[in-house]
Amino acid sequence: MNKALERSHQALHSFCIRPSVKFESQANDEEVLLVLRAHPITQIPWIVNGIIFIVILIFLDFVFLGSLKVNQGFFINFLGIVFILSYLWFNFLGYFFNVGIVTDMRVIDIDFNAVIYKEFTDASLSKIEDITAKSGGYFASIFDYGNIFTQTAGTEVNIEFLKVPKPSQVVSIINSLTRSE
Amino acid sequence: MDISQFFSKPGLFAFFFKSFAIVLSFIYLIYVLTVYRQTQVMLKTLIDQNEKIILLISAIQIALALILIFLSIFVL
Repeated sequence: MNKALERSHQALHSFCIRPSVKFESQANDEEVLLVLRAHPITQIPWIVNGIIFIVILIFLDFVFLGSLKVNQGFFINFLGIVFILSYLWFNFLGYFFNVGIVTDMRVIDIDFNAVIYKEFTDASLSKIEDITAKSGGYFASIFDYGNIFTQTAGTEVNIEFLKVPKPSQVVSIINSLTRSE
Repeated sequence: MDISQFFSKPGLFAFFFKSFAIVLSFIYLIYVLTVYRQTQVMLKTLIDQNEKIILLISAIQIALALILIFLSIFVL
């Protein structure tokens, strides 16, 4: 086994090598080698938003709770908390299920935009002609994440993995797989 | 009845609050049902070992939406 491909889960499960994950159209003899998600640091905005919403809810309690009946105040707070939790869960689902998968046969990009829109793109390793890793900005440099663009032959769609950790390592893994094809 | 008289009734705010709460709760129920259904689709697309936990959390949201409807109808 290639040492770079020993089973591991890094960067809070955003860079998983040989994870116990399967996908819809996986062939029986197809092995998942790499599962990539956006780097956890890129998810901070919605977590911070959730905290801000909680603070706003507490602030509104101080301002308006006196003018409401007890049951109305309880309902408004319950509704607010439920909405905030839903917002956090919605964003978590978006983070968790937007993955890039590299198998021993192909490269797959699964996107769920706003949860209700699904996009499944795949390209076989033999069709990949060029891989580019782009990383820019302070955070991307500090936390080592970036975008990976794989260009495929002919009219096949190009595949993008956005804001994934360790882009250079991903490129090297895909390169070694395409060479062995 | 004079319209100004109608709006100055003490129960009017409560009536609008309750109506708003019921409508919002039902809209939220539709939303969480959509998210639950989509979660199932997501788990079918990407089969993960934490499947049950993810489905459970989505199901809890449906329970919360039903509690909201109950509260808005019977408690407010």
